Amino acid sequence: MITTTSTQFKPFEENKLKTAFEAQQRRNAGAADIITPRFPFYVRDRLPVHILENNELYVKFIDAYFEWLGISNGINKIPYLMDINNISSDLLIHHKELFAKLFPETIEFNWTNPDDGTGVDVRRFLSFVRQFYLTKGTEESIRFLLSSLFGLDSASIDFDYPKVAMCFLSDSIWVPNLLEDTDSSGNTQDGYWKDSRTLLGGTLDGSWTDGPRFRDKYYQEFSYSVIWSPDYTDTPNSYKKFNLEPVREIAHPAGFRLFNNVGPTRYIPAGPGPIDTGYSEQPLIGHYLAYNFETTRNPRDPFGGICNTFNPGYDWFPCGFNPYRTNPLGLTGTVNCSTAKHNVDGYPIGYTYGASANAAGYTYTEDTYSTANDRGYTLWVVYHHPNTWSIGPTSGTAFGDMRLGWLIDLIPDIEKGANASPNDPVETLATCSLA
Amino acid sequence: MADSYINLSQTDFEQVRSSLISFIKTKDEFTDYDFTGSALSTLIDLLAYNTAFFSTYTNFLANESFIDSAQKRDSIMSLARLVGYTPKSRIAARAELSVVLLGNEGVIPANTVFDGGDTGYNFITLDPITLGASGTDRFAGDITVYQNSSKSKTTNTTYFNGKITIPEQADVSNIRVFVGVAENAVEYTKAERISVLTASSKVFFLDPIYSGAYEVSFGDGLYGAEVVSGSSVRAEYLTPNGINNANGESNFTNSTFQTITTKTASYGGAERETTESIRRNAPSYFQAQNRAVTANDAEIVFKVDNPEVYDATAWGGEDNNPPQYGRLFLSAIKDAAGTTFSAEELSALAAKLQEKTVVGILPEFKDRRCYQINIPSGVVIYDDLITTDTALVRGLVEQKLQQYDPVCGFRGIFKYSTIAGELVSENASIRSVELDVDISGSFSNATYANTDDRNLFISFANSIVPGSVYSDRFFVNKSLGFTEEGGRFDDDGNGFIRLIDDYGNVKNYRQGTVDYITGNITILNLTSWDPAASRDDGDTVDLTIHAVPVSKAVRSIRQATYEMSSNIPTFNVVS
Repeated sequence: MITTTSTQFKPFEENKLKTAFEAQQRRNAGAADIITPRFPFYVRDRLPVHILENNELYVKFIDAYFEWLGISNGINKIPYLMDINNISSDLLIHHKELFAKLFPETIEFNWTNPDDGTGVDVRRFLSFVRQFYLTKGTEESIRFLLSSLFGLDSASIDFDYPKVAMCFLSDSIWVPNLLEDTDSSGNTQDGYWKDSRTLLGGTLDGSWTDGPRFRDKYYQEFSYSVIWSPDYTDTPNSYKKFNLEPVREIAHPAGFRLFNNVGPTRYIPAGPGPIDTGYSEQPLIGHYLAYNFETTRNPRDPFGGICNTFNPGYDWFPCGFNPYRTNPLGLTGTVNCSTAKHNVDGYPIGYTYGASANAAGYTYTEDTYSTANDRGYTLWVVYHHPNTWSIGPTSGTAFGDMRLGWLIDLIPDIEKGANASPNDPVETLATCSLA
Repeated sequence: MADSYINLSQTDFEQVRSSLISFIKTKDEFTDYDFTGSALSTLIDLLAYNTAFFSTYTNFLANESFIDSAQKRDSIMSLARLVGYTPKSRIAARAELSVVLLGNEGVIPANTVFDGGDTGYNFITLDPITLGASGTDRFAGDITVYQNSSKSKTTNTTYFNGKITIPEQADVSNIRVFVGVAENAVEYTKAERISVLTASSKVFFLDPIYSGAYEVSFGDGLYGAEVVSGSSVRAEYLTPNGINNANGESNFTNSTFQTITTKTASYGGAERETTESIRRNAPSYFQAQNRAVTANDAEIVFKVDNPEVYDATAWGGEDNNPPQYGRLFLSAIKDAAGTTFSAEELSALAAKLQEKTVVGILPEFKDRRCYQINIPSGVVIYDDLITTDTALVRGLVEQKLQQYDPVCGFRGIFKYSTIAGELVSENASIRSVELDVDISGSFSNATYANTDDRNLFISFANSIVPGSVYSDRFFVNKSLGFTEEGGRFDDDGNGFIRLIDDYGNVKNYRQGTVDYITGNITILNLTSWDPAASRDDGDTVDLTIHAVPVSKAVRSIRQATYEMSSNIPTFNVVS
């Protein structure tokens, strides 16, 4: 409920600017200042002449009544209800409900107190909001939204298109997936196109003539990445205000995959909830960390802040890289974490809190590792560490410089010891710096 | 009622009077007046009464000026018109029939009446329909009939002041407008986008006006051809009176036909759009600007462009489970009963929507899936000093659960906390409510009895608790290594579905997978299920899979919707 009436007398702040502007216009035109009655129902237009002439006190009384009516009872707001520039600030939000319903209240979009002089001029914004709607789906619209919602310099927001650096589905011989992924009625649910050799070979991810081939269904034709740098502070929850949900709701073209690349040095794991819909989205492209990842540094931290020097105490790969090479439904995989989570293809994407002892050959001490549960999260996402690519980018290569065909094999780096992984939970201090 | 009521002015007499006196006293001339004893007191009273009266009007005016605070339908209709949104009118129920004519004429005239034997309503044909000759020298074919209050469409020729007013009882989704006399009349089409109109475009505009009615008007000679005053103008439309009561009719009769076979029972009859729906949809429509870019846009544009759609939801392929990029998914139903569209109808709807989607993005439909919400256990504590009637308490709980049944609605929510809160706050006899909630999906034995397909897929679209998945007992094929004929599922807490026999032995540790975050359960190659087997009483058994949701506030997401199970809730009532 909105309550605007107060028994205290308020000046006509709402119209102050308009009045000042009009006065200045008169002055510019060479006319003398005039004092206009503050309320249009002026008593002298309403009372008979003989009353005006003979009952001065009564006239003053009625005059005072009309003045009070205009000031104290909110009637002065009525003429400006449909005027976005002059409607009282407490009522402007009702226009927002019709013309910009999905726009959230943020520090920059201050709908409840629009005239505090900070952030976006929402009155002007409402005047032009239709133009914004007509640009939906464009870089311009997303850049505008992010810069407006979070007070960023629009020049600091950039876009990248992952498809320029990936092997495409069309690189293989693809046929409709008719044998699997059917619903209860026998209809094809997923509609994936599968490598024809998948059907012949009987494996889900197929075989390429020169070895297992990477097939990524996240990072493909219909995708774009927003690169931006919100200024995270040290406040633990400050990142929560930076998210792309408004973009999804207002401007994101349905059918496209939107990646949020905030840069790994500012990476903070998602809050509780499904992957990619947490408060802070992940710099995630497929199962891979986004580009610009500083691969010469170790994001593991099994030694209490010694290895992960740029985010001490945070072990970003608590479960190591994805160990699967084949479909776990075929019982040929090795589960690295006892509570691994799986996507619809059966590949692990993370593990829930409470992970403890796992597969043979690995030691795991919950006290040593920072578990998801310790952080209050329900899920850790499993990422492949970039250095696990034996054929692919060298350390420090910017993702944008990668070329088609580089990411073709997920064989662990053999230089990393017995478990052949830079993320080996039993690694020693000597392996803090990755090769 | 809107929850953003504007209280612009005081309406309480005493407050108004007090405020007025305080203000008058600030004036030099009246500072020393004793308003309680002077003659001005009468004037003050009079003006305060007058002000209180008009303050009510002021508040009324302010509230009715905004779509989120307006309460009168007329106001909301006017505000919707401001952003170009035309609220949905009544929709006539329709049915598809296969007919064979008795006589030698192969044309069914417009306004041919079919009596509905089950509902008692009339159904008529809209236009003349020419049938082809069948093998028996009879004319036969498929037709669509529409429910109408009279035995012919309403013809309105009251063209006054450049407009024809269409009453609120009309179904304007099929309105036709003609300009001219008799056979020389030219049909005008409904204008959709003003930007494509020319001075010669023969179009009419349809706008909502006050009283819930609509108004037909014509172009101004710049955007659309002008229709001069005095022209002969005719509007034809249905005025259905059966609304949703006319749905489900399948017993049609007309003595001029040899046979009438109901292909599709009547469906789609619906009352005009509610004020709350207009309040919600008009802003969305403005934001869409008649383009289907975002999922929200697609949903509102789709619903507005297709009045025969009772409800729909849309989501991008990136949010599909699993993701399918380059796709825009929708799920739509014809009526409250959840009648689905045929493949042909969906194809036409998709083609229509594609004209407004981003190029390269293909619309695709998914059937609505309705899962059940069960109350398998729980405790309700009551105060035995107030009542000792446990049946009464149980009835109150069951009634409240039904009140908040999401009934398979898109975007529905099972408001558990509201249910529990209201039960305690509204009933002094109830002290606390703690109910367990599980969700379930069934696979009909009839569907799978004669098929080799044994791949089952459920997407609850709500996160579920690891280790909480289980199934009701179902029949298995004993020849496949089972000692007894019963089997069931559970999950191991690590993402795998296990098949267990009647003795608790795990027969398959990897019968399927469960994704606890997405609520996806996939069971592959379930050859051991024997859906054709029957119990001693002869009944067969469906395969029902349960899971406990992480949040009791179960939400309908995408095509996955929920309803309260028909099973009686199970809970203890204790004092």
